Amino acid sequence: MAVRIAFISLSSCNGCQVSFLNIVPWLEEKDFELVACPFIDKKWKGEEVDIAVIEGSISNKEHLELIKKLRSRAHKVLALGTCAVYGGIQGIKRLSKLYEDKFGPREFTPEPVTPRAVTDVVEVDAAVPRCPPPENFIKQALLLLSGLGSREDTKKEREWRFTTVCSQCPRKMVRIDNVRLRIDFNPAELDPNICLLSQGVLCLGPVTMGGCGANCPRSGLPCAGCAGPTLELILVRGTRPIDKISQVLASMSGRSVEEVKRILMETINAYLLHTFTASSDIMLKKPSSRLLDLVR
Amino acid sequence: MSNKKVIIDLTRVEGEGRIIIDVSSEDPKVMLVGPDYRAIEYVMRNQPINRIPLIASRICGICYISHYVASLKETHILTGTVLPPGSLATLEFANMLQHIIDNILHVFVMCSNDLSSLTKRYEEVKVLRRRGMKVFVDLMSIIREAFGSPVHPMLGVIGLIPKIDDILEKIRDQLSRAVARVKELLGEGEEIIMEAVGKSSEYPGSKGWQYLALTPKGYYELSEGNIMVTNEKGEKKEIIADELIAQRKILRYGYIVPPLDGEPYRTGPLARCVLKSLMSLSDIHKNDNSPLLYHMARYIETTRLVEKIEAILSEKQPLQESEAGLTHGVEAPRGTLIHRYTTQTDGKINVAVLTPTAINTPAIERDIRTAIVAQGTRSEHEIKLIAEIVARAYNPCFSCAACIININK
Repeated sequence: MAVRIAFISLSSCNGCQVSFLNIVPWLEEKDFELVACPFIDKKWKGEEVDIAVIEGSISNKEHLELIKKLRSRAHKVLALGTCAVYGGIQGIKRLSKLYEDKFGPREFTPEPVTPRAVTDVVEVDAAVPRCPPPENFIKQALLLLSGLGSREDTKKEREWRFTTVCSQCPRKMVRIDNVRLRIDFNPAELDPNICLLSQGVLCLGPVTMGGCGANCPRSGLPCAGCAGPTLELILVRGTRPIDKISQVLASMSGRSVEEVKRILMETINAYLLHTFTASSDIMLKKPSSRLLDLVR
Repeated sequence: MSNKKVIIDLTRVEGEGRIIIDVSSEDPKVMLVGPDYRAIEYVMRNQPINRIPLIASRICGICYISHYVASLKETHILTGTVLPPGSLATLEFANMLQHIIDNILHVFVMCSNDLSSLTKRYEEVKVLRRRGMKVFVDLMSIIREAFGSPVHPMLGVIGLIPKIDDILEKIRDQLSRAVARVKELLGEGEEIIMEAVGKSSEYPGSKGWQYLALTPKGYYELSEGNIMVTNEKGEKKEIIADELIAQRKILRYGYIVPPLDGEPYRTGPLARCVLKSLMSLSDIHKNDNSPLLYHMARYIETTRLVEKIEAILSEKQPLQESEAGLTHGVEAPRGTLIHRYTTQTDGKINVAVLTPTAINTPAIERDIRTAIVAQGTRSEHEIKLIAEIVARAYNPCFSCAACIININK
């Protein structure tokens, strides 16, 4: 019998759904049945499904009700993309209390709630972050959740969880003593073959989960952390992004960790360091993250 | 009908575009709202300038290239950066691919149920949708090959955009094959699209429009140009982006200044075809100004862009080098898209994004009302069907509706 999948979209740009559309021909080949997907005009009508795939974060009461109902009707739930796993860009509303503002014609729009990631509200069986997740990661997750996956799929799925963006970046790490630390820079003035952190530019590569192919640093743009934190940051108590980045920057600039940390604390803020993960309980409730100290 | 209000969530993107129709009187009242505010402009404002295009592309996961190009263009203007030869051509080329992909996704996949409803050729439309999906996947793999990822790809950073020749070298064969498949799909779909557009009299549009689009500046017609408006009499005028930008967000229209004292703007493929003289105003009148003509315009535009890409591939008409423009905005698949950034005294960048959805909102509302009145229907199911067909002719997804909401702050 075909594995029944419902795709549900919450607050997001819908890019994960577009990434998901890329595997629709593959789903047909593999005997998956897509019973709901907004882009192909199939709306979920509350029926039981084998796998619910959710993109986007929770932004209002309707999202909350939908997600709870879906959890009770789906055998497995897959949180797809950084918005579903960590709250995404719109999670910034939680830090800035923007969701409390009155907006829109309230009579016809749902009541806003504290922005949350799906993973913080209901139990999920698998979470595939990234903005958006590449198709092969979605395929692996679906194969594993449906029980159709092989040992090889499990291995592949585990492998990318232990990588960082740096592990796929071709730029060479070198020590440049007393390099100027900066957030804004002129891309044309940087060496395209040398690590951006080595050149003093704030890049979130060391603290961001890999698997994206490091497209941003390859093109000259520092990693913005769209895949969410590394497993180390999530699991190890006492670790936080600013410490990790400071260590790397210190070792490559010949400065002390304390000096680098002091400079960073003066120049960066939560919007910069947690652009994609600001509303996630994982970082907000981790005592050592001190995320709220960076809200300014 | 007992219910006085019909509320429709546009199902392509749940809850992001909501239409409220009040049918308690003979003259229905229609309101399109974006119930989900994502605060993207606020996030962009708090980022270093190099990172702004990356965040901007997250406004929409469907028209992400157009947002990226519009944002990059604006950051270039703000920093006084002049692109090296060949890089501007890359942005135009990427935007062309975005338009082809979106038009196929729009007509053959997202609007397939509308094509079925209009033509009653259910099985043929189903086959077309399946083929459309395969062509879409082919084209997405080209974006991945050229720019690293099919969705939210990296087109480059301020002043550092790969040159078109380097991009073409990577994808030439793959692109040639994909272009052939697009042409095949357009050939197969032509009859059904035209038959659907033939129902224009059942879905008439209102009279009195202003068509708004960028007019080509030299070779670049999607990423460069001046904003032009033409009315139904064919009178044209050029307007500057700042004339369209409100000082603060206006409820339901975002930063766009709604033409309250004039006729609503129509932007998108139909406006582009009118302003490039690919469709005549008299033909549009003959078809009752129907919004269904947007599907025909998408067909014409896709055919034209495919021919242009073929010419580039055969090197008969290489993408020419040009100076970076100083005009704001680009053409996105749904219409003219303007990102306008200005520096503030505190060093932060003030961001205003005018999405085509916001520009089209009054037009969508007016056309839904006109079609409901013309069909004289009052059943909730029929009203929903009409509203969906009309709204989706303009726009099948309302991701960027998250930018058309007011903040009382």
